[in-house]
Amino acid sequence: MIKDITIGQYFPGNSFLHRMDARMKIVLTLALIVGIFLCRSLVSIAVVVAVTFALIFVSGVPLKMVLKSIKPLAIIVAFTAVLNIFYIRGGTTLFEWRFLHITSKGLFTAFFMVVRIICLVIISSLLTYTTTPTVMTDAIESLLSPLKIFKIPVHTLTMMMTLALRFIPVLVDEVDRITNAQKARGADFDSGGLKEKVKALVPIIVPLFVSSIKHAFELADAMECRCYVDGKGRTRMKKMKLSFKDFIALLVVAVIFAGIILCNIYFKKVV
Amino acid sequence: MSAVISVKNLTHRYNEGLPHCHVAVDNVSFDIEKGDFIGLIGHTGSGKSTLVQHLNGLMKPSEGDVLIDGKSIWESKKSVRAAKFKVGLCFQYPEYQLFEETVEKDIAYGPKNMKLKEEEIRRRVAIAASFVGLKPEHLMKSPFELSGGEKRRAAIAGVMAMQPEVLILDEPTAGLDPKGRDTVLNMIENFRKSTGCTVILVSHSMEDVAKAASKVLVMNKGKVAMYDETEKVFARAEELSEMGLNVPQVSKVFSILRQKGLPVSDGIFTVDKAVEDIARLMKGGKAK
Amino acid sequence: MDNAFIKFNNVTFSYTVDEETGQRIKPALKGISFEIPKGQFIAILGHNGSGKSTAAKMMNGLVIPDEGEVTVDGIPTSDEKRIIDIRKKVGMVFQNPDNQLVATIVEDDVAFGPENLGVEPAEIRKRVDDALKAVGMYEFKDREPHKLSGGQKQRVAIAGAIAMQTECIVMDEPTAMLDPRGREEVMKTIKMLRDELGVTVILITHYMDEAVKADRVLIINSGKAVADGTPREIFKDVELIKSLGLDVPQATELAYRLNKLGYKIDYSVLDEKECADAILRLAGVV
Repeated sequence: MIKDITIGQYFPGNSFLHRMDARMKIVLTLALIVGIFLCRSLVSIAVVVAVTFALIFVSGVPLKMVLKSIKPLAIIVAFTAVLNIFYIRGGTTLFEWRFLHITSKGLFTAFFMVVRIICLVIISSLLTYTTTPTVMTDAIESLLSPLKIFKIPVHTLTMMMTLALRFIPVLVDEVDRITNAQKARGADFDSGGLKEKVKALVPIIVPLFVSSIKHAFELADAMECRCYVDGKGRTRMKKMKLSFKDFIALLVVAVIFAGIILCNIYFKKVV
Repeated sequence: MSAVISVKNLTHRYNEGLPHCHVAVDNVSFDIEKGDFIGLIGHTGSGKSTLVQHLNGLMKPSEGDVLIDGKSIWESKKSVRAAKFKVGLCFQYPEYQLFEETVEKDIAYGPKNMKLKEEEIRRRVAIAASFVGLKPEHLMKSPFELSGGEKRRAAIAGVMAMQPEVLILDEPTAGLDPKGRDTVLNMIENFRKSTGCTVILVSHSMEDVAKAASKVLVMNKGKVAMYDETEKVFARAEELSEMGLNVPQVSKVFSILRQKGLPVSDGIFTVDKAVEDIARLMKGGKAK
Repeated sequence: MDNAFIKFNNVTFSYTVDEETGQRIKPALKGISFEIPKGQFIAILGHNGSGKSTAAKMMNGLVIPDEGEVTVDGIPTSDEKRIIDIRKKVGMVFQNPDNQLVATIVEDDVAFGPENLGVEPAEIRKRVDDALKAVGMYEFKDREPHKLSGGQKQRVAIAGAIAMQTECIVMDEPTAMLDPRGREEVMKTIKMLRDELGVTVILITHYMDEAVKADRVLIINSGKAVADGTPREIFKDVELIKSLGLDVPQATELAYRLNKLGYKIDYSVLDEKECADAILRLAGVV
């Protein structure tokens, strides 16, 4: 189950998106997401869909894998859509039966909602598909570095993020191992009420907790041995540098952004 | 003798139906006789870990079946659960499964899950503790206060206390020092002798297997490559090394001696037997 | 020895303090002294709880002696200001390969040490590539550590130490959690470290077949050094080794037991070949 989640996974490659500076990627991803929510007309949403698919194509990540990242959200998306269809009133009424009304505005809102969520998820998962977690945390550190003025320990926070990313797969394996070991001793995780089920988790959580602490202590020793002193005087092997292509990307996103706003002005707003 | 576990055409595939589907156990059949001490060897990825998790119903076969005392594990929900208690499985580094407040409670976890009476649980805990050499003062301690070797033994006792018909131990000596290794192997042998329990020892250490097991089952690429008496398996040193497996060092000494024309016996795999054999040779005059 | 690189001088250490008297009790090390010269491959043996892991952690100042002194290349480990200098010289590899890799990509992990030392980016790149090539893990540089085998993870950990250009690597049971193939990979890497890079290697192990490959074997028992010599000298004393809760290679044991039975066989043998030769000589074949 846990292993099915694809958000946050990296897909190795050497595309334009892979080679972009991660800081620029994060900023532009945020800009596109804002753009998505600014869409009010059918033409602008069409532009967004086109851009999203163009990005998938450019990234070189197989369409199948991208679509997989939407799958866990299917229920939420469907639920929002249904809710929007029935609750939003306005425009012409298309269908009426007792307390149920379906209006044109409701339909449009639902449609926009679905498209927006899907595009949002695809664009943000493209960010993680094309950026290694390490580079991502480095970029976040760099983007957040102005906060150092306010004495916020940005480096320590991002180091913690890196370590969390590093140890998630280790802990997932460990949960599997401990669960199997306790099952072999007759643990029953399936039957009983909620109270029994929660109680049955103790034999997994306690060992997991103990071994996490052990991991933490040993890791601290290992980091100390490698001369780690909380980011002071550290250099980076992979220096982040903005290059020509990053500015091209910036320009492209700026044009798209302007396009969305112009579409909103010149075409009919439907939501 | 009757088969306590019977594996019939067992196949296990991981990620069935996906492009990265992988056959870990491939149409395997064999019987395990009651009271045997079997060494299960094979390098990492040979399928031996997957195989043992089928023997107590922890994993469900993709194809084939596993029978305990002639009945399929997968007959009913009840039989799947019963399989866990008939076949005790002790995983690698079992000390990581300890969780209770006291060692006593932890050893009692398995028997408690069997819904035994309080008195019976206490009796079994006491017996299991004595098998692994834990004293009453250890039992009242938190398992996390024990030394590394003691933790390992407490965890093994937790499986022994279920009094299974078959005890499977995956690398029970991993990471222990030589003395610790001997202690654990001896206590397994004692348990086997006094309870008549069938034992399966999964190990990378050919020396341990040679010392303890009467039969050896070799897994290779998801199939059973050999299943025979220990001396017969270790006599096939060349085939074993082709599978990336080792033989005990004395067996290597003997194969060199044989190559050099010394008429030593086949299937020597412990130091005791090796000493005997050389002594026999020397008494019979100079070997030519 | 003038060229001592690591020097233990009458070192005592205890983890536990008596609650009533405030005194340190149950010492892990009791006045231990020894020296390790540069470039040596030394195996340290001892049963669990003998104090050998504590000794290992003292070699780069992770643990500081209660009494006595440990010096690395002349620098006492108690000198807090120079602790980075010491850690630059002495790298560590631990037992659990998962608990020492910090990054999510192999090459980033190897770069971690040099980055902490403030090395120039271009120089780090070169060191990382060289280190990964040295341990034979270059083609895995973009992989995620959790997808590697145990032996591969340990080789990455060793590369991390090489990239810091350490002169010495202390390995605390690096093979304990590995399968035979992984153990072999690590032993090959150790041989490369000594032969090609001239790195001093301190290997703490429970496996006697690994210890026989060392230049020197040191046995620690109840916090003291009880035996010190070449593997041949050490393993010859089968009775002593066994009384310390350790083991000798089967080849040595076989020759030793034949000798005990009254056969005139040389039992200072370390591997199967030497043992077979000794038996052949005994039998008069050669």
